[in-house]
Amino acid sequence: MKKNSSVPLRTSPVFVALAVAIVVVVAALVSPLALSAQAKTNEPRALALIQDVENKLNVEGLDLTSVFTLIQKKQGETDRVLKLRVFRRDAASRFTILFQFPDSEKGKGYFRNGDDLYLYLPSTREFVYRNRKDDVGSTDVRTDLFGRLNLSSQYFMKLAGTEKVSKFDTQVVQLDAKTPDVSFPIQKWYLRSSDNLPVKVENFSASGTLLRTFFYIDYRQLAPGKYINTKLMAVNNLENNQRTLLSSDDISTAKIADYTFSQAFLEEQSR
Amino acid sequence: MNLTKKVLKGGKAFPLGPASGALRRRSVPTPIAWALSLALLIGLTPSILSAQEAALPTETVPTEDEDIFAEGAFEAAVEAGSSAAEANKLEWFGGLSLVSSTQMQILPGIDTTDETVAASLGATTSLFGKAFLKASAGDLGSFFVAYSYRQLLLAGGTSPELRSWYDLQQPNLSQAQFSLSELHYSFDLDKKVFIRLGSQLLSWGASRIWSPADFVNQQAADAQALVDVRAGKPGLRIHLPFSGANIFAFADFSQTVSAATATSPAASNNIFETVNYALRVDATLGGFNIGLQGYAGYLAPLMLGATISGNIAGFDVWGEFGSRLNVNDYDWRWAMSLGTERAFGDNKEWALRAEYFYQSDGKTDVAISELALDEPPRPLYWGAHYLWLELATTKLFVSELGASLAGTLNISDLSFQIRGNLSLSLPKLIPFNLTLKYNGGVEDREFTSLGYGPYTVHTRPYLVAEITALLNI
Repeated sequence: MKKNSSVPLRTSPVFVALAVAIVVVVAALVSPLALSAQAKTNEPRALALIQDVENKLNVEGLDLTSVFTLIQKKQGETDRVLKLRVFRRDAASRFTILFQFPDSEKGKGYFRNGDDLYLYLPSTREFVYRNRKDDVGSTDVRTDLFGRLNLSSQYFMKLAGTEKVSKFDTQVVQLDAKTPDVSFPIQKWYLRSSDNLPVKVENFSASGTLLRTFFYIDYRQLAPGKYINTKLMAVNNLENNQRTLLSSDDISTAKIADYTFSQAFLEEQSR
Repeated sequence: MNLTKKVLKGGKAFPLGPASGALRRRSVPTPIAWALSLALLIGLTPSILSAQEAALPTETVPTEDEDIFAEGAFEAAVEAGSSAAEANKLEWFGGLSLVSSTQMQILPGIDTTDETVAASLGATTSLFGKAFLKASAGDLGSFFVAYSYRQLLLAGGTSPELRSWYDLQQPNLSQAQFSLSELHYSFDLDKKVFIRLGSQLLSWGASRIWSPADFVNQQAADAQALVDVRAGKPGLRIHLPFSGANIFAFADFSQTVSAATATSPAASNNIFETVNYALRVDATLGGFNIGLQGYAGYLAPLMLGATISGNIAGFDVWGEFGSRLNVNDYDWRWAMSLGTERAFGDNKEWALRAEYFYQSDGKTDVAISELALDEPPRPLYWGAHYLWLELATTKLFVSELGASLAGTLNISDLSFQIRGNLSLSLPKLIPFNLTLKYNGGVEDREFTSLGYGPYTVHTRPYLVAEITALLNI
């Protein structure tokens, strides 16, 4: 039997360093520039409006369980339907999302603890640690829609006039990201003048391109001064006629077992 | 009984496998020590988890003193009983992943003064995938079984070398291959300690391509595979979850029985000497998920590893480190991988990824055709240095078309693979992929050889074209 024949090592530190340098340079080229041109202060009135929105939509003191149905509509394609069970504990900035339909997605899930987001992939039994900017099941909806709002610490905000959205008079607040680690660098929130609840949110890229528009169609009051959005439409402004409809059902404020907010729960509920 | 040989045949995914040479006993953690450690952890857990629970309002539980005649009291008691019965109702959940794959190997011809070889073409078609079934009954736990399967439908080539390559894989068109992937029973102790007994896959790594800290699984995960068809490892896993951390302990039973060979029947071994143990502790701190893990046993090598993943200035980063310590005649080895990903584009539809891998015992430059029969090269865990780069998009011009271009370089022997992939999701059609791979670089090296040692059938650059369709039901 023949033995291995070794020839001189072709690898050199220069070769490795060159390869690493290529990666760094290319990555730097595609990295968006710092958000330097944007506002660096809050307008007090705008900040107060957004903090009021947070107070109304964040339901600290209550656990919240609901089933979201997402219907994604694309031109020329059959509607795609997803069902998610969402467990939410805003007091601890936690949520767990379980995919329930279709069966091919069943068992997938997310667990968020503060800014830490974990995606569970049952096919490989893998927990992938992510930041908070993940789309849910390739729809137009991001995971941070299901959890506690934290806009006032992530963005600078200023008033941007008034607009009429459908039959509602609204006050517009523009949000500019403090750091790149947010879902969208620029947002415009259209707040209903009557109760300061959002009816429309526009999300922009750093260059100002309109990416997505959310229409908050209906709310349900959970407790005095506390609301949950029950009907929503997300429009992908980069794709012709692509939108996702969300409706929330089976809403409960019963206490959720603590272990629901752990990786073990996702694994237990999965395949 | 040659126990050394049996342990060495474990075939772990971890590249730092046991070295040859006599083993001797050493003072590693015994089963009793591990059991004590686990008992201590289990004892601590309820107090930690209950702290969060105590902060929230508790449900009103009726007592015997309460008036059953009170409005709604009777109905509430019946409702509670009905709910308990419903909670343990048996539920079934099954699924199937099916991949249809047709692969063509294209070997370019040679026409030199020394040698003339005609170009040749070969093809294989197969169906493969995995089917699973889960039966769960609330507090009673759940049973899960998954089998992988493969049925070859076509294999043939225009040249003797390609045909002998297919023959080496023992083609059989009339018999499907089925193999157990996972079979386990899972239950919990008051939703605080989660136990899984059986053949199971673990995912304790953070890297995308190379996982030097994966000490437990029998095979390394294939990042390019459409379906994970690996076989799990028999053992007992205990999981203590916390909101931002986890503790896992695993007793590995895989060495307690030596598999039958051509010359000897299957044999059971000394349980205290052949049950091995693994432990992982992970936590998310300051935006980074950090894991520390180890593997040890009476006769097994002592291995330690670490994993990390997180985000720095918009770049996802990950890394793994694994080391086998130089105790009991095992020499010291180590390996590490480091990777990054940057998403870009208005909708983050583009991604640039890179990963580097080093292992201290990797081969620097070895002719594959000169290897011994008992030294098969492990794909992607053969050389000392590797680099992988990928540019991928989920939308190439239209949302129905995704694409990627990736390159894997064995820096140590300067062979490489370039892989272009198009994935199409057209309305009313099963999603499918078109892949073209070019294996090039120095001849008779990792990416330019088909087969190894005396079974080497080809040692020059070649092309592979593949069409695959994946169906998840």
